[in-house]
Amino acid sequence: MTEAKTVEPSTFLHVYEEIPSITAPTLGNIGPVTIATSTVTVMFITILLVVLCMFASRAKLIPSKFQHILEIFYEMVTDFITSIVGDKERAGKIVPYVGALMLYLIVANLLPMFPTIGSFYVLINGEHIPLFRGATTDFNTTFGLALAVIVTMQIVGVREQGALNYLSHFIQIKQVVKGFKKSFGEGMTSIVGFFVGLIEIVSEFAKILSLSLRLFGNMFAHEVLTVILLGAFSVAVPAIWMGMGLLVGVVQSIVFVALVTVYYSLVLKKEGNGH
Amino acid sequence: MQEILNILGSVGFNWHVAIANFINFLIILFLLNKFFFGKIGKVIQTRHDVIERGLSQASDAEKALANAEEEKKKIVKDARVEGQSIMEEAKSSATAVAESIKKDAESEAQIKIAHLSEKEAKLKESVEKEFALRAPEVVAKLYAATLAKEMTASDNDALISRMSA
Repeated sequence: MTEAKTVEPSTFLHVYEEIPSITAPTLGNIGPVTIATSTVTVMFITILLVVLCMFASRAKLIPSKFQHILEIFYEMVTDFITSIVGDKERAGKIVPYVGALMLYLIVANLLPMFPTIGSFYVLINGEHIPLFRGATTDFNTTFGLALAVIVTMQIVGVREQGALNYLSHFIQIKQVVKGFKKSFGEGMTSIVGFFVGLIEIVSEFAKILSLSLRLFGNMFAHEVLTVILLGAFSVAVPAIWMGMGLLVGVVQSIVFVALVTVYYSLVLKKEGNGH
Repeated sequence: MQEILNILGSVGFNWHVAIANFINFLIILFLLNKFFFGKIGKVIQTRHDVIERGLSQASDAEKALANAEEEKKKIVKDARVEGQSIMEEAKSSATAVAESIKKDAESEAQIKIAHLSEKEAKLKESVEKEFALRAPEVVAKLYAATLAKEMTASDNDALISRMSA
């Protein structure tokens, strides 16, 4: 990516842009952390969300127009989670986690569509590179998000069910002992359950990969396709595709959030039986 | 593990950047939880409680109003009945009073009439006595007058009419 390449000049019908690299172009380093163009976008998103927090913290009983929008978003997230979890009380416990994720993803996925955002370039090794690369088109961002989701999910699970009870889903020693006390057959079945529990640990790591790769793959593919279409037909088709980008951004956010909500709902206490 | 890292490396995976993103998102999560979802959720809940309380108070007030209306109707009805009975009582007592006044007046009138009749009888009697006593004198005077003066026919008629009056 950092190699200087000859780019063909754009014409009325063809806009020649370089197909984005799978790794985000690097701007520099702060200690061991590489600052890539996607990192700049992440910082920008962080600033936007901090500003949003400042506005939200001034919420009053009689709302302003902006507070109305925030409340509509809050209600929308609550309804969305309730439709998956099935119970408003249980949904309320994960609203901050899922809501924060939805807000982050919608901003991250739609920010590159915002006019003028793509007009900022930085010169690296004689090459003009867009300063703001879509945050979710960098695997490191989606991986960081998925990791945070799975970590917070374990915290919610422990808080909801108690540490020992929650961990007993993964390491089922108690169930094996109980099974053998009842009968040999049940003991053998519980050994199968023990191994299933161990596989569950692996599946928790698999969730991180599946979530992060799905989002990254879709968002990166959209960006690549936009550049290809700009090169092929610069007039109408890319505009339609870029419009579709809004839909892709929102749909991918919802898919990610829906999956995460399902994961969270699995660790929440169920009504009646405790867990 | 190394193999997985190599595969992930082909999509640009970098541990440091990923962990930085992880920490960054946790910070965002904390801030949004505290200042956005916590605050907005609290405000919505407070507003919901205020509306709920207002509605329940309105419902209580409505019930109280209905009770007061019922009470008012009852009081008006009782007052009407009481008024009717007072009127009836007053009417009957007024009739009784009028009756007794009338009776008194009648008996008083009767007494007065009797008294007057008695007085009249006494007066008649005294007049008759007086007349009996003074009649010969008057007749004599009249006769003397008549004899002293020549009476004309017209004087005679006037005298007769005066006498008969």
